Amino acid sequence: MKIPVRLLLAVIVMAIGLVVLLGFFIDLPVLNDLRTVFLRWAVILAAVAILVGLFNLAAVHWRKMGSRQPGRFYSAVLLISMFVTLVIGLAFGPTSTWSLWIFNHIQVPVETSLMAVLAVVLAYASARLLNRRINLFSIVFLATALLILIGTATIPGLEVPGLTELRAWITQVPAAGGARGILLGVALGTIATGLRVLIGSDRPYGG
Amino acid sequence: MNLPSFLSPAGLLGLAFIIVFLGLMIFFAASGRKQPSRALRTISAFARLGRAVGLAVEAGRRLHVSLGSGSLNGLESGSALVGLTVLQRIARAASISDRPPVATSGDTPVALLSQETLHNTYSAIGASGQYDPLAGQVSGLTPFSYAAGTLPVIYDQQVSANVLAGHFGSEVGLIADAGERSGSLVLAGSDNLPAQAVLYAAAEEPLIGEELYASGAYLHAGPMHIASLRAQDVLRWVLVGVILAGAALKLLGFL
Amino acid sequence: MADVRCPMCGKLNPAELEVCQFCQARLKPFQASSLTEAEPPASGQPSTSKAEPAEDVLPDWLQSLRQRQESLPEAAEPQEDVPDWLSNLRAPAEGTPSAAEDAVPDWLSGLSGDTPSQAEAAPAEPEQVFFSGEESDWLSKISPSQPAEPPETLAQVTPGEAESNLAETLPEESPIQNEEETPEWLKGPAEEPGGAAGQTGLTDWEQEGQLGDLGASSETQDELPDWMAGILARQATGPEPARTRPEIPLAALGAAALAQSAGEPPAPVQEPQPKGVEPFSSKEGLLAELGALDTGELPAWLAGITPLVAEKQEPTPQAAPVESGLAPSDELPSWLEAMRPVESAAILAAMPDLSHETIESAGPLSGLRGVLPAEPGVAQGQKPHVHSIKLQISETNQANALLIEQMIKTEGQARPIVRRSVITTQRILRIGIAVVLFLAVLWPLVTGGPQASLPGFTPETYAANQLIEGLRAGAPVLLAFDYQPGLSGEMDAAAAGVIDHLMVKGAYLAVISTASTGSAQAERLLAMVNQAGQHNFTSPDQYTDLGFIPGGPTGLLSFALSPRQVMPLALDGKSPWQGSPLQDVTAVKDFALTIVITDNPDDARAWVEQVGPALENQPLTMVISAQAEPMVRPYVESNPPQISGLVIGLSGGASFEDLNGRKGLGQTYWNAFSLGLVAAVLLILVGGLFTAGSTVWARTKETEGEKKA
Repeated sequence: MKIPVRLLLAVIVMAIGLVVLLGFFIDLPVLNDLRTVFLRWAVILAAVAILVGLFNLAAVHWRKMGSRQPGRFYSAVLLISMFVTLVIGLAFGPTSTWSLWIFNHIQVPVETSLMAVLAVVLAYASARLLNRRINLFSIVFLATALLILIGTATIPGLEVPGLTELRAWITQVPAAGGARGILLGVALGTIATGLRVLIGSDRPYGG
Repeated sequence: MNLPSFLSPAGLLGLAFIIVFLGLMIFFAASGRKQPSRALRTISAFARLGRAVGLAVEAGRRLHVSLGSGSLNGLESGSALVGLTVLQRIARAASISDRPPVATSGDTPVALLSQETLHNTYSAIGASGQYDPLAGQVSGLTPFSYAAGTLPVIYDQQVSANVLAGHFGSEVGLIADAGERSGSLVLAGSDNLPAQAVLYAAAEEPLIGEELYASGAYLHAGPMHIASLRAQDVLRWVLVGVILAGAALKLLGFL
Repeated sequence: MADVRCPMCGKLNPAELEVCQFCQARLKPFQASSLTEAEPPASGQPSTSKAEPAEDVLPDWLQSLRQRQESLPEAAEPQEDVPDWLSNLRAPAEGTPSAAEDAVPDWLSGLSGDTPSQAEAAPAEPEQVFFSGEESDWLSKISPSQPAEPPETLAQVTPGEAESNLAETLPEESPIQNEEETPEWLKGPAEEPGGAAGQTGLTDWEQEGQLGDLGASSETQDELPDWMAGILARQATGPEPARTRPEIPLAALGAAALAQSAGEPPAPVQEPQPKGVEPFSSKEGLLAELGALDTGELPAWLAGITPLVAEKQEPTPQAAPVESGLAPSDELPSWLEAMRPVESAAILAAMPDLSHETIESAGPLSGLRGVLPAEPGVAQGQKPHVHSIKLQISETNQANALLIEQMIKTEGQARPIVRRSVITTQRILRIGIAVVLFLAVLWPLVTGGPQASLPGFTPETYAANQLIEGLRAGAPVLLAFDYQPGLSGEMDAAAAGVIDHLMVKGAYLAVISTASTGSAQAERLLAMVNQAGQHNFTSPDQYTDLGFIPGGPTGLLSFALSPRQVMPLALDGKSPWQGSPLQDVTAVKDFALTIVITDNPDDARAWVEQVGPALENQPLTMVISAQAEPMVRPYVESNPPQISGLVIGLSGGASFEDLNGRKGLGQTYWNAFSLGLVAAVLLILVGGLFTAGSTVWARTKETEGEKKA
């Protein structure tokens, strides 16, 4: 009997998911062993997936470089950089002097600069928040952000009593409580999503 | 009650919770077929998404779906799968556009699944010729490099709307800002709390809390999505009750 | 010969055709041949010519009617109180064919099929149709349930023409004199619309015709229906006292009455009689009888008519036999019973005056007054109204059409790409914010500016400090670098003091990471702290880099269960598990301390949830970003605490360095960090207030504008 590929994939997904899930709750040697094997396979696949991602990245920018799209110069720079870094890392090791030089003098400055730009972007977005949506929640959001910022810093020559305690209280009580509530909801959503995949309702893997 | 050796109380509780959750989902899915589904509360983001898809198709512009930098191995896998569902619905709706939607992600397995999702969607509607494997692409392998790699997609590919659904960190502010500067709609949701705070200030239509996980239900991805949303609502109230009961017992000294 | 226009579809047909070749409507009405020769009247004008129907198409009774009418002179001007049709019935036609025919009214004899010798020409237009669909007054009289049409509605037929038509239709012996009031017995049933027609399915005029068919001439009285014979018989006996009768069609009752007055029993209902049958015995007698109706008295023969029981009525007069004799009993036929006049004198008085109505000149009702025109306006070939072919459009339509035209024109034109201005308000604002922030941060670094007081340490920070302080020299410590290069500014400053303290204590560091750039991050920070603290930390003597754990939390779990199997080799390719100090480490719980440096709260949770259980009683300490504090703090405050020590952000690192008394990156960055925070607060505050104010102002102006509008 010819089994459809979709059905076979769904059966594999459901079976492996069920074994891993049950192995988390039930302490049986067979389940534990199976679960360990599957988890190691997942680790290996995740590592291999990084290489696949590199190829995908290279293919996208190779095609962009060959087309007349704007920014193809930067695609060329990316491809050259990727190639050079790969060669150096394979040849000298990921923590060699050359590799670390590239990391310390290119990657870290670029990413920290993006972080600095993000600080400007967030300041600009916060200043314009009341233009985008002016309601009670936006006002509370801004007021809380200002209190936390002021409570974190120490103003030279200016000591505001209770500010640090207020900041600590906001962080530890309402912020932590709200964060916990959202995290519980996120956890429920994650469980629901996982169960939909387990029962075959959602099949992003092809089917 | 003497439990078997292989089953701990915590394990039993967890297993029971999963079984109850699954049972509720199946029950609501079955009852939803007999009765019309109840109305969901309005989320303006999804209403605007529908209009944005239509406008993009009419104007011949592209839709950009960003799946974040979360992997399928961790806690952020749920948001990644939700992002794939959103991608499927958008790809189906915008398949007739001159510029098919493009999906970017910061994790390779998620990018591969996005390609698979696009391929299946176009095959289902008989437009296999429209499928482009590079429409599902990896923009970067670290969060900030992913954000940096997404910016050219927003600026250069005539994107009219950006849907960010997945695991993002605070770097999502850069993507949202790029969307605003290019004049495109930014509809974003993440399971990461700092990212949600950033999105509340920077995005036009943020999805706060677990609204991201309701995307499937609002985009009519299937009855099971609505059923799971209803199951979540029920269990949320159960958890509220358990928390309140525990706090009360603690206050009274019983715990 | 000129083509004839069809009255139905309006198309031209050859004149010799009887029916239209397109829609099969009759082109020539059922009248004399003079119909085809008459010209169509002017628009709105009633037809004056008279048409001759085709003899071979018309029923015999109708043909005879025509013939009789043609021989009749113009009806004398009727009395005002006599209906036209009644007066027409009185007028004797010229050239009455025979004495025998005198005994039977001409119209009735005509119904028997005699060829009409003379037929008053009805309107000769070939476009004649019989009814325009409106009720005529005389019909409404017969059927009071139908409201009497005002005379103005009968625009097609003038009263005079109606009279002449009626005269053509009825035989010359028609005794009806009074046309003012229709006797009750001549009126149709009150309740049923159309009178007997409602029961028989025929219109009144058809019934009249049919009933006329049933009439027999004096020559063939034996062929008369019994009921009609009865009418004639009663007529001979004289008028009877007036009595109220239910309304029945006038002609039907007239025929029945005449038959009864003639003393003949009413004959059963039969098929239309052949030609030559005259149903009425004497025209003068009929007229006399009907004239008696003027006084409201019923003639004896008519008064003797008794209605039949309603249940015994038959649906069709053709099929149902009529009982012999129209005696005033319960033996009336059903159709006649249905025509019983309403016992109300007021109805008689309500009969409208048809004297001014035109006499129909075409169709089977030619000669009758107040009938619906046989030739509607369309069929009479009226000149159609001239409609302007110019499209009537309003100014709004013109404006819209112009708009659409412009839109279509611009669609094909290439529009130049609007180049965005380099300098925009948004860009200026962003640049301004960046300049302010950069100045605020750089000022203390460049000038050594205002010194901000160091922050105080928190209990969690103190606990972390004490945990490191309690380490022995060479104790294996698992150090995880799980933060992104982009957050190196904060995390390096937060973790530098901790790593410096570890180096001071001489702990053996086993470096690991779940991020792909973790190893490089670790090397960078270790080298920085090593240089700043003037330590001599080298690998593999003082530390070893185990590398990158793929798979995220899954990999962490695997590492927690079996670290040697997951990470068998270090980055330098050598096994770290062989020699000291890691030779005694077989599980994560064998490490003296586990320190995780991360910016992501999810990574922190993964370490707590995946590795924490495997640590058993060994402490877990974290150095986290300030943004992760709300999510990680519950692990610190849990009972028992899952995280033993916590260093939070730049402030935590600065306070940790302060605890150790060793200045590091934290204290170096603290002044700039504080001033930058203050600048950010001011920018957000001022910008927010300005934005809120402008938004409220704009909305207020918009609201006022709407109100004014």
